[in-house]
Amino acid sequence: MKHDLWGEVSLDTGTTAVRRLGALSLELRREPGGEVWVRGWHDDGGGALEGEWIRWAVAPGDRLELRPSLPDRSIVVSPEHPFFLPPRGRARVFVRVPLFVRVNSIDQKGEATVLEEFPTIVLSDTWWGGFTEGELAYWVHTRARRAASPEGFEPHYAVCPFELVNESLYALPVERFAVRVAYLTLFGRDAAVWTDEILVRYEGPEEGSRISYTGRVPDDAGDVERIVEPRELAPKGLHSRTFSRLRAFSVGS
Amino acid sequence: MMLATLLYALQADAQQGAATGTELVPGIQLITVVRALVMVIVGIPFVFLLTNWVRRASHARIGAQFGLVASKLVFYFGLATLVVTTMTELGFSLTPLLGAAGIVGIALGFASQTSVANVIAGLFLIVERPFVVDDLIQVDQHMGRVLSVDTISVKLRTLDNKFVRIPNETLVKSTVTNITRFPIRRLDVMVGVAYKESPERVRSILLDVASKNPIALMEPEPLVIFEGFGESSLDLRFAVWTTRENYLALKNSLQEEVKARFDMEGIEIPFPHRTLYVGTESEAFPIRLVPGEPVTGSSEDTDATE
Repeated sequence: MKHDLWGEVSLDTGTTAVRRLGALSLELRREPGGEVWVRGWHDDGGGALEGEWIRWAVAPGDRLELRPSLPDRSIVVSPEHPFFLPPRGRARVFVRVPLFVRVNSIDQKGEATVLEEFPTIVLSDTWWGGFTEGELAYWVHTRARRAASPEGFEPHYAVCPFELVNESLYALPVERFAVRVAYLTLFGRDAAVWTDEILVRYEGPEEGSRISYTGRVPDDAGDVERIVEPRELAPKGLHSRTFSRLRAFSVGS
Repeated sequence: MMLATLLYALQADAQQGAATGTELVPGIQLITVVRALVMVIVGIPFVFLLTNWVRRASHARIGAQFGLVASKLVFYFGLATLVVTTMTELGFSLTPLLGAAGIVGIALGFASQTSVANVIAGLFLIVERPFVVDDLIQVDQHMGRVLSVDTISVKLRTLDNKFVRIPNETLVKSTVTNITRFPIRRLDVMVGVAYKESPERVRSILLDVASKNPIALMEPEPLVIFEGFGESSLDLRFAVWTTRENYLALKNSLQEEVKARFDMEGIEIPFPHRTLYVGTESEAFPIRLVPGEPVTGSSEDTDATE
């Protein structure tokens, strides 16, 4: 991984390192006694207050490193222009997923401990499910490109390839879909960060979708190396409600 | 009368055992007392241990509410068993006690109808489960977190940290609002804007404010509903969803953001207007300025005012 943002941060006692990525400003400071101070804040152009320092009492010899990571919740992807996938149709879609920055402390044995994680851009919350049960997720508005174009490669985004297969007898409206990013692996090369490919087989409105996290990147990614393991291991044969949206909404007075 | 009968029966029974062994008190042997003491010393901690174990085990399997009830049942049953066993060991016959208990039970039944009603209402609450421990509920004017659902009453801790005990019967008869039952809630903000403003423009600004607030849920989508023509303003309902944990945070941040954005966009939030008409509704209220000396404070004025 050659991009200079990721990797070890050399920091002498009393010095501060500053990194900017997306809307995130990140500062790391080494205090006497090995203490590490971390803070991050977001500025979307409207001006923002600097974040509060978070103190970590790590061992004096521990090193610091920055690693990319995927969001800590599932995401709901909303294409700018929803599209239909005809019955028995197949399409590959590339979605850009905003990355988090993980601040790790590396001990003498080389074992990493996550100190903090900061999103590179502020993500909006959304709800995936019904009014009485469901899951809190992040909302990601995307162009849902059909090809992985170089202008989509930014260091604070991961390119997430989808292979959508409509095995039902009905046209599939792709207007929202949920992705459990905790099951995805990150791969990197220069500024480009990729996730492994997700294969979604849609079986029908009642049957739902079968989802496979392939663990492989498509050929478009080229020569990449595995940089971050998934947060969780995906259960085998994941069968899930991936394509959906809230349809009922009652307006009380 | 009943108590006298009971005491007489117990005393007579104890006197029967006085003939043999060392007697600590008339009618009760030392060894019997020691055995009874051992039962109490071992039995009470055992009952407490068993109760705690049942509470912990049932909490994970059947939930906090049922766990609490199950542990209390075990506690009272264990305590009753211990009392009965100890009394039997001391040589007291339980037959007259049970007979008297029946009579006492009938008397108590009449005397404690309210308590019995509360116990039965408590069973309904446990089965129906309109709320569980740690839910935020509102009953009449009381709002608070449920601390426990007991056989007689439900205990609440209000948001300003007061303890409220509500009898179960009252709860069954009242309308109970469970505020934290569902994972998401809708915040309704009433917004009034001046009649000169375009409702379409205000609507798009409000929706933009919601979309920029990270804890406002994108789905279910925020709504702006035109409620009507108020006395001084166009009244809009701005309905935004959030998680129950973020409700208060959204209430604060969203209204502050609406105010700031309206100020930036020049949208007027009017205060109540009163227009006075004299004679015809088209002519202005007549004011005539009269030239003269400026008014100064004098002792006469002061006196008149006082």
